Amino acid sequence: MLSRVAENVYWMARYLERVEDTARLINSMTNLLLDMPRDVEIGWYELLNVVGAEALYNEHYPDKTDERTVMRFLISDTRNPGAIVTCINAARENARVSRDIVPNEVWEQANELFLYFTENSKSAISRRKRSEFMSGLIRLCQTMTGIMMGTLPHDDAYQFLRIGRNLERADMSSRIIDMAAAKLLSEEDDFNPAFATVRWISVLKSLNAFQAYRQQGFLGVNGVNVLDYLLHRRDFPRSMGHCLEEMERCFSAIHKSEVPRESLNSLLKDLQAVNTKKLKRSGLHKFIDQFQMGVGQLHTAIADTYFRNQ
Amino acid sequence: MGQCMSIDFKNYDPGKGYDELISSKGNPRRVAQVLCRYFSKLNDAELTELKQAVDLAIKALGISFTVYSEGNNIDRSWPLDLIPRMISSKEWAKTDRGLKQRLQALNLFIDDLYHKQQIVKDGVFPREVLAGARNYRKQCEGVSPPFGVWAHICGTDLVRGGDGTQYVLEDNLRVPSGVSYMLENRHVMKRVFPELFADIDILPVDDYTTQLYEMLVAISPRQGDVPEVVVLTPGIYNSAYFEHSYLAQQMGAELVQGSDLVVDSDDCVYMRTIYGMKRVDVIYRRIDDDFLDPEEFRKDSALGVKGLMRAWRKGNVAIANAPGAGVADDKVVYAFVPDMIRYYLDEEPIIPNVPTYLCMRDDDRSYVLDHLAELVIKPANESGGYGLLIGPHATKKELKEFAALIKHDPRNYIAQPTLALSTVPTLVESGVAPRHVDLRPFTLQGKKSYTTTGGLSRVALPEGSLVVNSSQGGGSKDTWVVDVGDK
Repeated sequence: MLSRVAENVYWMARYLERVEDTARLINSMTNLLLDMPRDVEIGWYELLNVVGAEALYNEHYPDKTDERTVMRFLISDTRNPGAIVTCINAARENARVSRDIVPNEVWEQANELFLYFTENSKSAISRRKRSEFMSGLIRLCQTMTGIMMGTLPHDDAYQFLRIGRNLERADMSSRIIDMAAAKLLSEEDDFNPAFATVRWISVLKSLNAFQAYRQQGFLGVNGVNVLDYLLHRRDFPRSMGHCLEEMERCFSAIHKSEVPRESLNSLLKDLQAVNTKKLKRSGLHKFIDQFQMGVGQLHTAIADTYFRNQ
Repeated sequence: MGQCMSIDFKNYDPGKGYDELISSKGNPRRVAQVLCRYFSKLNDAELTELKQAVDLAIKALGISFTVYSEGNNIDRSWPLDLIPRMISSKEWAKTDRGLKQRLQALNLFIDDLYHKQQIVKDGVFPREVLAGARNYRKQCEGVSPPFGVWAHICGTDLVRGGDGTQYVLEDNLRVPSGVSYMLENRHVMKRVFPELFADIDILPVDDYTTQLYEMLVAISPRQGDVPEVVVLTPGIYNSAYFEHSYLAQQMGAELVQGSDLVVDSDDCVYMRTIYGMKRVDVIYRRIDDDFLDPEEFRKDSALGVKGLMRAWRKGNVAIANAPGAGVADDKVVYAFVPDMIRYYLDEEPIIPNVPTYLCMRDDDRSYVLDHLAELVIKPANESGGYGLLIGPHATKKELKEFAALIKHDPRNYIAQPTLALSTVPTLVESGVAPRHVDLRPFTLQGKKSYTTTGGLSRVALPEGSLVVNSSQGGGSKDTWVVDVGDK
């Protein structure tokens, strides 16, 4: 497999996952807002934090934090490299340059995603149709992933797709957990517990984990259990632990993976060492920071080994 | 176009020219009878629905093309008309033979030019034409590619004049494009008109990519092994990128860019893979000679591969079409193809050329200059419909400019009579109307020869227009070669 094509496929999966995760995040935030008392300060601005777009946003909108401006920036502002529109375009371009190896249906689906966004994104800026729009996006992303998983031979390209998807997902899950914890771990004592529960539920929902979490039969929705679930739960596809283990499986299916595996193993070890019962807000934040740096190192190791190896 | 108007073939007037489907008002040709009956029965709403289904399928399949002048807008949906162009299989059998004959002669010609130049010595092909051939490559002299074939893939433009005679208008044998659109047009039509494919014996076109792959495998320098075949593209900003990726995908070949390839000190070509360097045997290149190898052609080319010509001359890699094959893709050389067929094959040309005036000949030139307003003037080495003058549609100023151009560089211009190109009924705002078409079949030559069944029919959409290039507002039609039992 060509190095360039492996890189394209890897990025296609990353961008696609980013679109889906951002859509989930926006949806769960919009939902959450409806449940909160009006005087509780839940800023849309927080979302910018999660996706790491704060600095860029401030540059363009130094004194605006209203819902519409933030939404437009996250959804359809092409100046934002993390905006849904930018990621859809990038996913499609990467699909376009991988057309000789991805099945036709995947390319058709990438086009459909693009057309869906072009035709409907305006409606998502206001709250009324946003949820419907985001659900549509999520469904289209899942369809594309589903087609790839169901039609690609399990060759190297397939492994690079899965690596890209799980790396992006691990990163995004860690960001969502970080944001939630920033508010919740520090405020849990003096915060109205009903609202704390609602917020932890919202965190679970933004990772599509609420139903799965409840089925495990935990007594309640509280910080320790939720965090433990999202960090370590091996059988839940959006937990950080699961994403890392998926990548481990991919690396064992391709050759010459010693260097990236070293990076991955150190991430896994650090993750396993986290004890959520004893975790304080600052400790978690520090861990997540390190985790995200580790994800960055893993990406570099993959790129050095496979994409620019000559 | 939003709402379509239902089609009334009884009142369709093919005019004075030759129409491919309707011989005279109310009388469909034999090949088109079932089709015309089918379309006549559709009402406005049904026709609109079909039109939308075609447009939607094209969008969903991502069938697109690129226009150079549009800045960063790199995609446009491919225009496909609902009504196919039809050809009887009996007529096609003759065209098929004619195309193979022509490409065989062209390949013998190119091989001769880079070796003994016997045809020049024998006085059949003028030395001064060779001297002015911009695409002649000294670097190719003495090279003997497998089977003596230089042009492995040829896209031939065919047109039909007012009297129904079919002519060859152009031989495209540098990097001809369009075949993917031929295949995708059929794909879309089968989706939208499954019942027509059940009722009419339409010959399939799908085997092209298999034939292409077999031809490429046959020219591999490492026979016996499964060769590594790659498609070399300039990248996504090229107008034919869609086709490059399509063909690579259909053949299961790697789609590479120049930066993916490297020529090592052993003069072999390698590609950069995730596990290191891998040897490449056959390159189906879709970039021009000029950009192929910065070591020997344009130094500023970032699209090519340094040392590629060295590897090719040593026989370590096959390139299709071979470097230098473009020497025969020249509108002056074109005029001599019938003579080549007689010279090399000792046969009469099966498909004639359009009568052509060579401005380098004094008599021809003075005729051309006197009759500019009636002729089509073409530069020898342009493609895509760029730089040509259609006399009857030209302004006084344009005529004057071209007269000056011809006098300045007569070798570089040819002139042909304005043909009343044949027409095919085509959907327009007011229903259906005759629009001019051409036809580009594709011929392969390696160990054996192959021609596509039909080809890409391009249609000039504005009324009266003769320009069919998609980059200049042309559309396309599916081409149905139909067996009506007339052996």
